[in-house]
Amino acid sequence: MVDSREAALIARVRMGHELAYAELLAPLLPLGARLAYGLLQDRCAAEDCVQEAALRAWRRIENLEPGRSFRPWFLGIVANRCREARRSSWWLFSTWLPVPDDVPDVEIDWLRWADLRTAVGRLPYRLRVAIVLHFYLDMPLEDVAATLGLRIAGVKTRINQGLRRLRTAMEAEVKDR
Amino acid sequence: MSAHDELRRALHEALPARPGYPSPDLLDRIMADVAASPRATGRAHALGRALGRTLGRTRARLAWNPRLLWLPPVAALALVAVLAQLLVGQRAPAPAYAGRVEFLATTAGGHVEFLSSQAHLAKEYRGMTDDVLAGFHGVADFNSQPTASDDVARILYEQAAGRSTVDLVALTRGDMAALEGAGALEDLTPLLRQLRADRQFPASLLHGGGRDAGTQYTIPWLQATYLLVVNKLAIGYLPPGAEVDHLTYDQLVDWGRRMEASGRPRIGLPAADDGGLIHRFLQGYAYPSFTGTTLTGFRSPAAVQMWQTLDDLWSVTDPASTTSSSMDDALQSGDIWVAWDHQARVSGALADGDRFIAVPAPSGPAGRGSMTAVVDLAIPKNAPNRKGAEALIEWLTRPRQQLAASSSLHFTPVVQGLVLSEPVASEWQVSRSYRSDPDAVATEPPVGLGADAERFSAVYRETFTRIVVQHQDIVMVLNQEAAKLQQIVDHAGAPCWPPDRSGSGTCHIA
Repeated sequence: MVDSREAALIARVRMGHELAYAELLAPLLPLGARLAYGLLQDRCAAEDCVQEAALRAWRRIENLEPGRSFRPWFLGIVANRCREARRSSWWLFSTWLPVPDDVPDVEIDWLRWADLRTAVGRLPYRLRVAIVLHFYLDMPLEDVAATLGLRIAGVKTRINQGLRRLRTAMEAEVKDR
Repeated sequence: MSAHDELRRALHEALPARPGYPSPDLLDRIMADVAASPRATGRAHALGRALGRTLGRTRARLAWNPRLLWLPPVAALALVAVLAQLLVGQRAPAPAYAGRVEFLATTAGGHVEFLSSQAHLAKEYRGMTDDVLAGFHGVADFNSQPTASDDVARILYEQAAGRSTVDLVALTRGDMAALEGAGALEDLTPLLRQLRADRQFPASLLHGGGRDAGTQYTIPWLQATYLLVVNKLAIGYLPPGAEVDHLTYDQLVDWGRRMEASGRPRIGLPAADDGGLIHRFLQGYAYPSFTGTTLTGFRSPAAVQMWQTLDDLWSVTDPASTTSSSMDDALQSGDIWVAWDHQARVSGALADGDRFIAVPAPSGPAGRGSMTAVVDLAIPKNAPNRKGAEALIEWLTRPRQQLAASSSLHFTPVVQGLVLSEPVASEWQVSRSYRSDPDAVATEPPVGLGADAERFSAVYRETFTRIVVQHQDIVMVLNQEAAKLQQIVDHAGAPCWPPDRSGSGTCHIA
């Protein structure tokens, strides 16, 4: 549920107050950026998505149901924006860019986890977003459900499916080595 | 560790959080988008939803009642009419958003004659006209001068003549005091009350007015302070036990000696006679740190000790400082490693966070002197376009315009709750550390001197040149220059200002 301070801020945002929106949004930006990064695995693209999601939330604040918290609603918009970004032709092109062979040492840590990132990145969106929210953002099932507009049972189903696919993908990677 | 916990840990390592992510300016970018994208009001949305529901019901009826076939063309016409109405509504002045005061929102500002002692440099002036004032619903005729003396004299003259050509004036608080004391400013208390419904000003920047307690004649616009900029190369030369953000003047001198081992003096002061701010260093930093005063202790024994220390400091200071009006170039070229200056005058160096840091100025036996320059906005009495001036004040104190002014002029916004980007964020940190220092001796630029303010500051510069550069006898110089200062203060009839204790009547040097 939304507390009285948040309700007052949302009411002011509905009236078009920019400063109230900044106050409402600022604490959520790190979380939104992490969610976008978890989904896209690209910090620049993730920031762009958060920026676009924030503008979209501002324009569509009327769609936020009375009494509903801004946080899950905004994170839902971020997740949707990330899905759209991955569908774009530029995203498809950018993921085809070859990885350089002479990777500097500083990136070794990054490469160690390449298999896991690839496996998460290949999950269908509906499973990936549930996995990222619950395991990467450490969000309780109730909050994941609120963000995705699902019941808790639905979230559990997606997480279990996602975990099964991840396990299969990671085992396949190990066999390939 | 459970499999779930292991996946959590693995994901955190696979997609690590990094400092600086998301970018500190992300909120700024979003708010710029938001400000550029006014949206439909709640009424328009509600109307749209209602129209959608009506059309849905109409479609359902048509499915079973052929007698209602006349409805589609009528509905289409109605839809066009409603959309036209909405479009016209959108073209009207933008909807109210933060920073907009409703009674001003529909009023065009007209022509506003705006005088300022800030933004006289070409780049700053362009920033004012291209960024800060762009978009204002009116014509802001912005004019700025290097010093406020001419503006103050012009407004006082016009007041005496019973007419006014100036609508809005932006001056430092000290300069504004001369206008306020002469009863030359309009009461802005009602405007402030309305502005505070949307935006917060720090209580310390709002004052009840010099003449009538509880009356506000000025609205804060911007603030700035002075600080030490340190090249990170200099950190290795710090004396043992010295902390770069808690230096004393003696440690600064010692640090300068050590840095000379790099081949040349590495400390810089803006001591150029034309444009350097060395007088602010003396008034707001050195004197308060040694004597606890700016004026009354001008020739005190503590002041003599201060000048001896400054003499030592000058021995390890780059001699080219006497021709430097700003330390930015010397810092960025690497000639100077440690310099004191106004935050706006070292913005180039501070923007290079890989090489430079900003730290508070040193402290002395009486504490850590620091000076905050607050730029206020005010409307002269009988301004020809008072409504337009109020609209412009409302515009200039909007969050977006505050950030634009901060970026263009390198001052710090006064409206609270804004997310600042570098270098203003670093400058703000220094400003905050001045305020939170238990030994702080807070000062202001000279108050109440009006058109005499420039002559007053010139005496401090002359004293510096005679004692530190020309090595004249300290006590003799102080006595001679004190007489000049007293004559200026007497002429203006100015009472003491912080940190000197104000009493009744004109301020007197002990």
